[in-house]
Formats: sequence, C-alpha cells, structure tokens
Amino acid sequence: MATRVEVLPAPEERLSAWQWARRNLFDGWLNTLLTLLTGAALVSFVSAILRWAARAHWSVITDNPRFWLMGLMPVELAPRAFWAGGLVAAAALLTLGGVRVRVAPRVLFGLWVGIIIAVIWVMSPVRLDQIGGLYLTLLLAVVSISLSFPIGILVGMGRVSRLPAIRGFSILYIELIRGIPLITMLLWFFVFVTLLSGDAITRVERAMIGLTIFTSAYVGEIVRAGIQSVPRGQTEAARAVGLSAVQTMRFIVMPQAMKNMIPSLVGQFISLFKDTSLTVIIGLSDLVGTGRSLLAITRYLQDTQEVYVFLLIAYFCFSYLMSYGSRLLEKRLGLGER
Amino acid sequence: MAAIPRARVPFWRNVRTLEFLGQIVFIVLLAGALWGGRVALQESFLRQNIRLDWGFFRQTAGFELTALTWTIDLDTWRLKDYEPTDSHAEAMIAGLFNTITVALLGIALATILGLLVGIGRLSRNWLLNRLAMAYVELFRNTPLLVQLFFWYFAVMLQLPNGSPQQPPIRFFGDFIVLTNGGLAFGGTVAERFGRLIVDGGVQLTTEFSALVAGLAVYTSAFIAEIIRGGILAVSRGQMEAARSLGLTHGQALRLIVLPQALRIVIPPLGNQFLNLTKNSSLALGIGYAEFLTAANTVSSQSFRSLETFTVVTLGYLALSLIISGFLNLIRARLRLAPA
Amino acid sequence: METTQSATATQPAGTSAARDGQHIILLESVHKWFGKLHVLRGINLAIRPGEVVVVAGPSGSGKSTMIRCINRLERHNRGRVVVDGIELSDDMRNVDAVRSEVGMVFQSFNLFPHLTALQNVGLAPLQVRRWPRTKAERAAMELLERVGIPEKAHAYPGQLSGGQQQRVAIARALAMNPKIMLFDEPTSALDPEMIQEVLDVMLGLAREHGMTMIVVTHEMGFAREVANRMVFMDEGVIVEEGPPEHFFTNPQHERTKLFLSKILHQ
Repeated sequence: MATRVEVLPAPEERLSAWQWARRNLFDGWLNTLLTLLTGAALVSFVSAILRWAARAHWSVITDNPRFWLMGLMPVELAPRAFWAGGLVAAAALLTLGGVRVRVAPRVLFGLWVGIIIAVIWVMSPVRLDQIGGLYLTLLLAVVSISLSFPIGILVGMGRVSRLPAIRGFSILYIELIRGIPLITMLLWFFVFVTLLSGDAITRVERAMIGLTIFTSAYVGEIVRAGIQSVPRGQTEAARAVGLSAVQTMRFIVMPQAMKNMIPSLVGQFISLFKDTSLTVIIGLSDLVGTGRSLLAITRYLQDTQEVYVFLLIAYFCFSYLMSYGSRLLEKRLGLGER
Repeated sequence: MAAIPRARVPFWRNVRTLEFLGQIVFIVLLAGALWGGRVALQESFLRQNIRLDWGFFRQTAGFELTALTWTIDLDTWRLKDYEPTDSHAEAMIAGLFNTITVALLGIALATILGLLVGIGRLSRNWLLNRLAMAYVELFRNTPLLVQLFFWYFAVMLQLPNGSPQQPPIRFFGDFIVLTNGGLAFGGTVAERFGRLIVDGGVQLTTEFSALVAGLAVYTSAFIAEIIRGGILAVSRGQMEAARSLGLTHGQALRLIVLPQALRIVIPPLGNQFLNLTKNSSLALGIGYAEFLTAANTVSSQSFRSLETFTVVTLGYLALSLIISGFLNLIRARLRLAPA
Repeated sequence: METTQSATATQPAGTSAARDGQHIILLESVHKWFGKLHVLRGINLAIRPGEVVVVAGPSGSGKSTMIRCINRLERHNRGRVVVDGIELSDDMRNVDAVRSEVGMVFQSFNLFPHLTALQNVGLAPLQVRRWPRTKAERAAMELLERVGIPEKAHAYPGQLSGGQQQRVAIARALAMNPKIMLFDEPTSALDPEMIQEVLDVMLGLAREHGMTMIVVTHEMGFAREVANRMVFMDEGVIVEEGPPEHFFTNPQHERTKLFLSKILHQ
C-alpha cells in the first residue's frame, strides 16, 4: 500500500535589509568590530582614491583615444582598424548572446571563422609593425592563443604517448620552457633570430612566435592532466568497440578531457594576455608601450599615476571578461551530463 | 602444425615495427632541424663576421650595479662585495645573489599577505570577505609588469624627496622612513645638504622596495586563493566529525582541518614560490640589478648578447630545477608522513 | 610447475580439436607478464562457435587478463591467440578486424558519459563502419529495444541506474554485430536487485541468438543454467574445465572444491 506523501514547498526565507546586515555584518561583537574597522579603512581608502581621481589629469587618456587604441598606425588606415574592431566586438557580443540562448557551437565557430577572414581582409593593407596600442595587445594575445592551442594539444598528447622518443621530446620541451622566465626566453629568442636572419622577421612576429612557444608548453601540461583525468576504462571501451586510436582520442578522450581542462586553459590564456605586456621590454608598442611613450612627452611627464592606473583598469577589464566568459562556458558544458 | 598457419606479418603492417620506424623518423627529423639551425647560424655568423666567444666573461665589467651585493671571486672562490673592477661573470653572479635575496624576501612577504587575505576570504563577515575578494581579483587580473611599473613609477618615485618642503613619510617615529630614495628601517633622520637623510638602520633602494612589494602583492593574491581552496577542500565531514567529538570550532580548526589543509596547500604553494623567483626577472623593467638585469647590462656592454642570454637562460633553468627538486622532495615526504 | 602440467592434462582433446578448424577462439600456451609478475602461465583453451563458457576463479587468478588478451586489450607475450581464423599479432589489420568481431562488456560499464545511450550504441557503426547517421541510429534503437530500455535512448549514463547502464553497455558491444561476446564480471559492480535484469539479457543472447560467449562471473546460478562449459582458473593456469553438471557436482581438484565451497555458501 502506497501512502501519499505530501510534498511541501521549502519554507521561504526572506531577509529584510536589517536582518541580512545583522546576520552578515554584526553577528557577535567580534564580527561587529571587524565590520567597523574594515568599513573605516575602506571609507578612508575610497575617499582618498576619489580625491586623487578628481585632481588627476585625465587628459593623457581622453585626448589620445586613437593612440591608445592603435598606436602609431597611419591615420589613413585608422578607419580600417575601426571597422575591424567593430566586427570583432560585434562577434563577441553575438557569441555571448549565442551561448546564453544555446546556439550550436558549430554556428559560433562558423561566425568566428567568417569574422576572422573579414578582419584579415579589412586589415590587409596594414603592416604588422604599424599596429600598436590595444590593437597590438589583442593581436598578440589572439594569435598566440590560437596557435598555442593546437600545438599544446599535440605536445600534451605526446607527453602521454607510449613511444619513448615522442614522450621524451615532449617532456624535455615542457620542462625546459617551464623552467625559464618568459622574459628571459623572449630576449634570448630575439637575439637568436636577429643573429640568424637579421631583420627578415619583424619584432611583432618574433613576439608572437616567442609567446606561442612559451604558452604551448603550459597548454601541453594542462592537456596532459586533462587526458590523464579521463579513466582508462574509457579508452579500453572505445578500442573494444573498434574505434581506432585517433578516433578514440577525438570522440572519447578529448571531449571529456576538454571539459576538465577549460578552467585551467582559460587561466592560462588570461595569463598569456597579461604576459603580452612583457613585449614592451623588447621594444614593442603594445598598450603598455603606448602608455610609456605618452609619458615621454613633456606635456604628460607628470601623469605617471594616471597612465598606470588606467593601464591596470584596462587589463583588468579584459581579464575579467575572459574569466566571466569561462564561467559561462563551464556552466553551459556542465549541463546535460552527470 | 596448427590448423591456421602462422601468418608472417609484413613489416608495413607490424605495429611494433611501425612504431619503431616512426620514432626513428621523428628523431631524424628533429636532428635534421637542429643541424639545419646550426648550419644556418654558422652561415649567418660568417656573413656578419661574428664569432661566438665566451672569453669576455672574464673581462672587467667596469660598471656599477644599482644594488650593491656579494659576488663570488672566481679566482679564490670566496664571497666578496661586488666592485666595478670585477669581471662580467662576477657581475652576473652578484645579480644571481640579488635574485635570491629578492626571492626569499618576496616569498616571506607574499606568504604572510596571502595567508591574511586567504583567511579574510573565508571570513563570515561579508564586508571583509568581499574586500579580500576584490584584492584577489584586482591583483590576479592585471599584469605583474604593469603592477611593478605602478609601484615603481607611480608610487615610489612620487613619494616626497626628503627636502624640507617635502619631508619624508615616517611611521613609528623614525623607525620606518619613506622617500623617493627608498625605504629605511630603524635609522635616525638627520639633515644634510638641505635634505633629510636617514643614517644607519636598514636602507632599501627604491627599485628593491618596489620590486619586492610588487612581487609579494601579486603572488599573495594567488596564495590567498590556494589557502582558501585548501581549507575548503578539507571535507565538511571532517569538521562535523570533530565537532561531534566535542571539540570547539577553534580546536577543530586547529587540530583537524588545518593540518589536512596544509598537506593540500603545500604543493601549489611551492609552485607559486617558483613563479615568484622566475617573475623576479621582470626587475629588468624597473632596473633593479638582479640576474637578468645584470646580464642585460653585460650584454649591452660587451655586445655578446647570444652568449650572455644563453648563460642567463641556463642559469634560470638550473635555479628552477633546484627549486622544483626541493619541492618534489617535500612532496615525497608529505606523501609518506602519516595523515 | 605441477599446476601447468595438470592444466594440460585436463585438456587432452584441446590441441587435437584445434587442428580441425572448428574453433572460433583458440588459445595455445598463452603467457603474459606484467613486469615481473607472471599472470598467465600457459593457457590452453579452444571454444566452438555458439559455446557459452563461464570462467570462475579467485581474484588475481588471471581470468580478466585472459579474456582481455582475446580482443587485444592486453598483448600476450608468448603463445598464440587465434580468433575466428585471425591470429592476434602485431599486425595492425588483424587487431582491427578482431576488435569488430569481438564485443566486450566491462565490470564498471565504461559508458561514455558525454554521450546519450543512443549515441553510445551508435558511435562505432557511425565512425568505424561509416554508416549514415539515420541507419546507425535505427540500428542502435533496435539494440536498445533488445536490451529492454528503448525509453532511455536519450538519457545520459549519469541518469541511468547501474543495471540500465550495463544493459546499454551490452547493446553498445552488440552494435558492431560481433560473433563473440566477452563479459568481464558484468554484474559485480551492481546492486543486488539489478543483477537479474542484466543476467536476463545475457541469457537471451545465449539462447535466442546462439552467441559465442565467454563470461567471467561468480554468478553460479547463471553458470548452471546457461554455460556449456565451466573453466576454473587459479594462479594463471586453467586448473579444471568441464560441463557444469560435472563441475558443480564432482569437482576433481582440491582448489576447485575449496573455491566452490566458498562461493556457494556465502
């Protein structure tokens, strides 16, 4: 005999602002003291910042938007840069919207391929070393990310290969690169390329190659961890139903590994985005380089604080956007399974 | 004779032979690429009339380092203070010592800061919690180099210069004195040549202070997250079991949760220490004479860039290997230690 | 090595029968080492088409390793393994051919968690046989009907019970239309109330489809009912084999008796 069990809705908990504050801020004397102290520190800190911001000379930022955006790119080419930027921004917005309404990944992929072709076409008259500012920063990041992803996957698969020669090479590559600071590697690479080929390879290209070589090693290590996180039984079952080694990798191991890899992969790409700033040391005029060349102008000599605060804010916005996108993606992939 | 004759496997279908041949091909290609690179480099050297020469390391450096420090006298193998009359190699060793100093101090500060912020991040106090989170997000999501530039150019160099119009910032009497010339502990402020100058105590240069502060703050944001993650990773069941035995919240935290969290936290913490050491090379951006900056000076003085940067690269590699070997040792011991 | 001798002694007909080409699976003095550990110490086994062989034995006796050698999940170090006239060797073509003729069901199901039940079953025909999607899906659906869970076709493994997962795994193994099915402790990871539904599916396979099956299991009820032959393994050798009625009522070896007394009285 089945008795009917009534399902009751969970009692709703509504806190008034006062109750919420009681619970989260003034729960016991220690907590209250903590709140008051932190609050006082925060107020004095924020007011100091606001006072500084009101006094600061923001003209170094507001008077040079084109310079910040694209550096010393010739004026007649600027409209092309604006078009390209607009296209990418539109694609980014469409992607965010698309992920929310669950458009098939294939559509988004197609969208990006289209956008990239369009951007390359629009920007074709622009030489690489004419690009500067935010555009250069983004270009370095995007190119290095898209190159180091496939290379990193190959290296990571090599890292877990059964074949000693390939595994050994992958281990050597990963450990060698991870043992060296990026800036040291970039400097060595620049000197090496100069000795090897003179000026045949531009600085921007060298930076792209250097960043790619560097990031691929880290991506390889992430891919290794991702592959090893997939239980052995999965591979065995796939081989047992007759899939080839390549098919097993592609249809069984990688899709599952990828899901585990996304947080660290995005972390790595954020770190690469931040690391593009190191190219200023080897003489590129990315976002940081632009700021520093503005600071060399007599009019702006005194504006160091404004410039660096602006740079911090700019990098923060982009990095934060990337980690937000990653969290969205994780949620999206987490559904439907397990 | 069995019913099915033993089939001979042609070599192009034999997995083992194919794997073996594939590896041979891979090695040959790799060796070919290396050889090609060598030949190209040689041709390029001939064309530009360059020769690799490692002898310059023994030539006199002739430059000051922005930070005075020890080096090893390469003739007597004794510790000594670096002087401009020492050789290039000795200048770079002085830089290496500076790197180690910065790393040790940075690691200590970053750990303390990270611990505080990590605990704040776990606090039930909403305001403190959010503040710690803002700290972590701000410093993790901006490039270290920009942060170093900020600390050096926008903070340290903008401090009062110590003239009577711009008196130094003092804390606790004269115990901590801050000017754009650096940071001094425990000295006494005296007026000389119309300036307020610190005598005695521990004096740190502007570059050093900015570098250590920048590295410590940046790394502390990562350490805070590791500590938070480590404490959260100790399962709730452990805390509940400890509480059900009658331990107080504090006792449970101290005796049950923290020891376990420590074992989780140590490996990633070690990675952060290694990162901080490698990141100290960004001092090149603000001109503090650690290993890379010293090497960069040597390179531009001697015009021997490839040799110098090769040595620096190998030096960092050795440093990293030593540190990770040490970390692996600790990890192995942690694994053996009883829970 | 007296165990090896007794193993060959119990199977005098094995090698002579192998010569008539009547056997679909043939193991001839198969040896396998894991590092220094000698896990298979000269296995001889010959199985005719349509036979159902149940392999029993204590854990670590090499049962799993033996059946994993039959579809080359493990590589044997010495001896011969011939499956449906194809010798398993380093010839890559042979391995591929054998794998599509041998289906395997694992103790821990090993379903692909990122694919639905239907996709799990249809993946191999789609990718290996290159069937069009509709054909592969129709075939997968038929198999899910055969194992009795067509209504779960679009569920992910994580949404299924253990018994349902193992039935999907059986359907997946059947998808390539194998001549032989290997079962590696298919019910050991299941809750007691789910064991029967899986055994029923296996029973149906043996009775209605005349499938050649090797089943590693401790389900002696199933063995009595379905098996044509019992194989008892211990320490890497086949200690005893024979029809189940003999095996259960009149075991020849001490070790078999000991094992049976343990497993039947638990």
